[in-house]
Order: sequence, then structure tokens, then C-alpha cells
Amino acid sequence: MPHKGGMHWHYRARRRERHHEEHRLRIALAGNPNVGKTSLFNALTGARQHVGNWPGVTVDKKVGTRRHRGHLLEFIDLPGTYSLTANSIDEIITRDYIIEEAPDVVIHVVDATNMGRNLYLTTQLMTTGARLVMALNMFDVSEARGDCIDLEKLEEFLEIPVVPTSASKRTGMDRLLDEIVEEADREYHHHHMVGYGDELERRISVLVETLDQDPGISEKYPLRWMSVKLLEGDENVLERLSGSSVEEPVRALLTDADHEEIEVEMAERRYEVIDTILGQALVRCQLRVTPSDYVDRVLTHKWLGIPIFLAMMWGAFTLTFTVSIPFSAMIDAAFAHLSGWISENVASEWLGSLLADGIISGVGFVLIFVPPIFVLFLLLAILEDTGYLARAAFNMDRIMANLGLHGKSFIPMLMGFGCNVPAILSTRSIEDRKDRFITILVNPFMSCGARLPVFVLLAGAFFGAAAGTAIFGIYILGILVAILTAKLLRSTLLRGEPAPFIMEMPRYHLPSTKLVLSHTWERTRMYMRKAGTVILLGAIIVWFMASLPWGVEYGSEDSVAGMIGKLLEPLVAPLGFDWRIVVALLFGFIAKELVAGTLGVLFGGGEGGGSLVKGLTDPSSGLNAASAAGLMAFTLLYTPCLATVGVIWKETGSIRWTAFSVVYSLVLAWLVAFLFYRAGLALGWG
Amino acid sequence: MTPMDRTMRTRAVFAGVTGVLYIVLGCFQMLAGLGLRGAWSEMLYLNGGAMDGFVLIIVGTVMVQGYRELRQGLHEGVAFVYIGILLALFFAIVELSSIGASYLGAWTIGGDYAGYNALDILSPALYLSPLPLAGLLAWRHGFTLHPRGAQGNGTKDLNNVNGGLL
Repeated sequence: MPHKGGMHWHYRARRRERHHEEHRLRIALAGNPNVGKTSLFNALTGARQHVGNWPGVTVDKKVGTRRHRGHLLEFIDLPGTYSLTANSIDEIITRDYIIEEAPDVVIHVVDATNMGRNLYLTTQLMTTGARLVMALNMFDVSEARGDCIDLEKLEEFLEIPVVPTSASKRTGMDRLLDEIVEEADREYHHHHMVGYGDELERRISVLVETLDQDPGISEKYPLRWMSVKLLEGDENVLERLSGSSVEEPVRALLTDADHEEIEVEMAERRYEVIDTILGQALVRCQLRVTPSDYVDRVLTHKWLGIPIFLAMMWGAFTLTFTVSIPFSAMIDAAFAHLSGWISENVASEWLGSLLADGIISGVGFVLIFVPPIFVLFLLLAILEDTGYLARAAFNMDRIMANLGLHGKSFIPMLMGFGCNVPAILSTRSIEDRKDRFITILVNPFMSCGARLPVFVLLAGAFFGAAAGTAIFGIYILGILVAILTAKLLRSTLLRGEPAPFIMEMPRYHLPSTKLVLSHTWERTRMYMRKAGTVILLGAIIVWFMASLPWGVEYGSEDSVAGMIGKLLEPLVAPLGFDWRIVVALLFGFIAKELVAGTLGVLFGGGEGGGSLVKGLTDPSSGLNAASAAGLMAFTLLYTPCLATVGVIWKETGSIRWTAFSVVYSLVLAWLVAFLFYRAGLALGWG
Repeated sequence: MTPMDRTMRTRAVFAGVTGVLYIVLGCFQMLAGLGLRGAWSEMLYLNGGAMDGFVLIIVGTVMVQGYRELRQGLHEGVAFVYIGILLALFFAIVELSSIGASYLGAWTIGGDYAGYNALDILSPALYLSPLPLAGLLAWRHGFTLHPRGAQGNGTKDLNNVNGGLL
């Protein structure tokens, strides 16, 4: 018989019926972040996987398959979570999948080197009634460290099959697959659960009996899990009772419950159990300082941590610029040659101009920047994969905490170096509304990959050997503006104290070539795909604007583009920009890549397809090092692109905050660019 | 003096000397980068900017911190020496890549790269790099920390395990 307080009969029967219908098994992978869950998923599924989105959200859903002992196993990689409380979107996705989709088996991936914290999720997963198999990952690291884990005792206490694995070395996979199939085939299963003491257990029993009266609830949810969550005051679970016949009785039973106190008491009981289990199942034979601890003494050092971070970033940007420029120059030369050939050989003058001055200049000048984008993303991927970026966030947290900001904000900020859209979406993991809004509003100041071409172009044209340093300076400016804006918001419109921040440091390891290259390629491909879509369209529109009305000189002040630019030119004249810059910046509002593309059309499309750098540095362009510095600052800070504005609106749910983001960034960009321009002139950069 | 002490001492001396060299040349490089150039800056091949000086100072400071800890008998100070070496080599690779890319540019497209000479961008980060490289080669297997002693948290006889579990 199933345990009275354990998995409810109907709930389990539903899953078993489905299991017998076919030999297809659905296996979910759950675990804390950074325990090697995705590596294990990759080791189990190999190339047989695809990535989609969880319904209604843009969190990645990875699904992969594998055949084993006559079963088709479908693996689902759930987001990493520390608990099953509905604090963040990741936790809701994970628990909804386990509870509502009732997978045949849940692999609980546990970091063998950090069992104390990982087992907290185990105690919660056990309450869901899911059939669990524990993959004790990084077992080799734990052994090398000197830990002795008594697997039999662990299995005995938890009543869960425990398989030692090392996802990175792909060991333990066969045994894990065997255990999954055996667990799914097992007729009867029961595993232990945490007891919460007489008083709480009495309340849980009453709630279970009450909930059991509604078959709509008892067939859908494990009742002990639901009762525990109701006692903890989980609003998300209470909402699931809406319209049920038991809603009122349940509410009545909860009226005198002090949810906060109960939650604390339950958490304490879980940790008591964990301590007791580890006391008998884990023996640390020798406590060694690991190489990660060793490296962290330096890289997270109180005084040296941030200077080392700055030095590393400078090195990364210098490397990006110097290594990529010859390759960019080769692509530039190829496009200039192609453009010249088209101008000479296409009979139709307007078609030749459209192809050479419009499409080749616009799209070509965006593709020129594929090498720096690739190198920068490659370096960031290496830093991320080694575990260093987590340390960077830790180092920055000290500064941010001193400014009253939430440490979790820095991770979306770092993601913003790639693209601001997913970075803003990732702020969903920040529970506090004010912390989240601040993080969303400052994210566009982090320079995304689309802005890099403008910086590379202008720095290369005007700053010579110091180009790498100039680009580094612009990125640092972005971080500084973001931090100061966050401070401003925290002390004015979004007053309050930041929520406490606990961050886990992943262990340092050598980056995986495959993973690094796949991340880099994914991001570079996104940039290149844009060149073939939005940039192509933008380049054609800019060409028409620069050519119409028919008969005017291409790209002259008399063209439509010239007229629009001239109309707005007085607004940016104090910054040293002419009407062509205005047009480029206007198009940059659609997508930041279009700034470089438009500059390519308006400055690069000379006779025979001249080089854009020559076009920019030509005295007739009106640009100099001072205005170039101002333009770099303006491009960094001004109004985010349309996609980012859209996601700010969606995530804040407020047109006022969205408008604030647009106006604030535009005004700030103007002021900073003005300051840079004037300072540059004073330094003799004019 | 035990062999262990001798190794520690050698590493400490290495870290101290290398660290001071990096800091001194980093300060000179910073001054040169800020425009205070002269015959001395040409003689020392201080071709970089102020940021090049900054990173040399950081590398030097990390090394000197390692020296301080090793001198105090803290074996963990070796972490600073090791990271200092890796940082120094990283910045040397940055310089080397820059030279390599420039030669590639001169070879393939010419233009601005024509007549390029590596001595034009040679900097202390590169010519000091044989020192950390020698350190890495000499101690690549020796950068480990020793156990700080045994500590057990197990074998406590807790009889109430099943009292906590249902």
C-alpha cells in the first residue's frame, strides 16, 4: 500500500497507465544550477536533441532522445533551481513540469562535492511523489578531493537509486540508464519523506483529507506536496484551488497558519534531516583546498579582484580589435572590389547603384564586422566556460552592494554584452520588483554585439594604436553609466533596500572547445542572419532615401535622407555630427547594426566603392577624433533598439517605464556625447 | 633547510623579482602612455599606452602579494605566483597575437600595414614574458596545495535518522 502521507494513489495511477501504453519514457532532469545537468543531458542524448521554448516564456526547453533496453527515452532538461518554491520563473517551470506533466522518472542531478545544499531540493522532490533516480555527478571530483560517500547508506535513507556519474568524463551513463528503466518498470515504489513534527504533520493530514474530497484535485496533484505548499503560504498553489469545491474548507483550515513561521520550521526540519543523513553517509577523509579555492584567493581578492577583471577585459578587447582587423580589412577589400565591379559592369545605372551603393555597402559593411564579433564572443564564451565570469559578477557585487544594488543584476548586465533582449528576459530570476525594474532599465547601457561594429569602425579610423583601449573604455563607460543610473533610480524613483544575494561559484575548469565554439557560432550566426534580413531591408530603404527624388546626387543633402537629416541636424550639431550621422542614428533605433550599415551607405559608397574608413576620415566627412568619441558614446547610450524597447515594455508592463527608458537614455546620450566632444576638442583631438 | 623550504624560497624570490620588474616597467609604461616620453621610453620599448602600463602593474602587484605571503610562510601564496604567471602570459599572448595579425595584414592586404615592423609595438609585456614562462615550465607540476589536515564530519552515530524521515 502506498504511504498514507506519500504519493497519492490516483496521481500515481495516472502515470502508470500512460507508461504501460507504450515503451516511451519521459525523463526529466532536475537539479541546482551549475551541477552539470546540461552536460549530463548532452552525455545522455548526444546530438539527438532540439531546443525550443517553455510555453509562454522564452526560457530554453531542451529535449533529447535515446533508446535503451527497448525503451525510447525522451529527456527534458529542466531549468536549474534550488527549491520548488514559486519564487522565479525557473522554479515555476520546473515544478509545474514535474507535478502537472508527471514524467515517468525524474533524474535528480546532485553535485557530489556540495551535497549539503543539493539535498535540499531532494527533500522537496521527494514530496512530489515523482519517481526519482539520483545522479551523483562530479563524483570523481569529490573522490579526488578525499570525500567518501557511502552510496548504499544514501540509497537506504532516501530510498532513491543513487548512481555516481561524471558527465564531463561520461562515466556512469549506462548504469544511470539501467536505473531509469528499472525505476520506471518497478511496480511499486515508495521513498522516504521529511517528517515535519507532530503538529505540522497533523495539519498536513487534515489538509490531505480535505483535498482528497475533490477528484479534480486529487487526480492532478500529489496531495502531501500540495498541503505542504499551502501551509508554506504558496499563492501559486492556492490559485490552483480556485473554483474547486474544497477551496473554502482549505482556506478555513489555513486562517490561523503563520506561513512564514511554518516555512522556516519546515526548512529547518529539512536541513536537520540532511545533516543527519550526511553525518552517516558522507565522510570527508581529508579536507583539501581545491584548485578552484586556490585560484579564487586571487581572482576574488578584496583589492585585486576588480583590477584583474578590468585588466582581463582590456586584454579581451585589445585582442578582439587587433586580431580581427586584418580579417575585416580583407572582407572590406573584397566588398570594395565587388562593389566596383558591379558599378562598372551593370548596365542599368540605378540597378548598379542599388546593388553597389545600397546592398553591398550596407550589408557588406555589416559583414565586415563578423571577425571582431566572432573573436569577442569567443573570448567571452571562454571566460564564461572557465567559470571566470561568475567571479566577475561576485567582484562587482561588492561595488553594487555598496551602491544599494542587487548583486544578481550584474549577471543580466554581463549577458547584455551579447544582446540586451535575452538579458532583460533573464531578469525574471530577480524576485524583488524594484530590483528587477532597475536591472531592466540599466541593461541597455551594456554594449550589445550590434554596437561593436560602430566602435571598431570609429576606433580603428580615429584612434589608431589605441583603438583597443578606446573600445574597452566605451564598454567600461557603459558599466559605469549603468551602475550610476541604478544608484540614481534606487535613491529616487525605486527606493528601497536590495534583497540579499547568494551566488554559487561554479568550479573552474578548462573550457570545452565544442561548447565554446557552439556558443560563439550561435551568437555570430544571429548577427549574420540579421545582415540578411533587417539590415538588407534597411540598406535598401536607406539607398532609396539617399537616391530620391530621382535625379539628385546620390547621398546628397537634396535627397530624402538629406532632407530628414538636415531637419534634425541642429539638434546634434553641438556634438559635431552632420546630417548623415543623424540618419544613421535614426536607423539605429530599428536595429543597432543599421548604424554601421547606414554609415556604409552614406560614407562608403563612393565612386568605385570606396572604403568606409577613408570616407569617414576624409575631411569632407566633418568627423574628427573628438566627434568620433562623442559618436561612440552616443551610440552606446542612446535609445535602445526597437526589440529591446518592446521587451522592456513587456517585462515592466508599463508604458511609463518604457517611455522613461527611451527618453532618459536619449537625453543622457546627448549630454555624455557633448561632454566627450568638448573634452576631445580641448585635448586637441579636433 | 628542507627541500620544501628551498622551493618556497625560490618561488618567493622569483615572485618578488618578477613582480618588482613588472611594477617598475608598468609605471614607466603608464607615464609614456600619458605622453611623458623621452629617450628612456624608446630604449625600454615602451610603445603601448597607459592601459598597457596598468596591466603590467596589476601583474606585478599579484606577484608581489605572492612574495609577501610566501615570505610569511603561507604556502597559499603560491596561488598569487601562479595566477601572476598566467596573467603575464595572457598579456604576452595579446601582444604576440597583435604582432601576428599585423604581419598577416601586411602580407595579405598591405595598405596601412605596409612596412610594418614588430619593434614598433614591442612592449614590456612581451619582452618580460620569458620570466613567467620559465616559472611556469619550472613549476608547472608543483603548483599544488597540500592538505591542511584531516577533518571528518562523518561517523557520528545519529540514531534518529529515521525519526526525521517518514
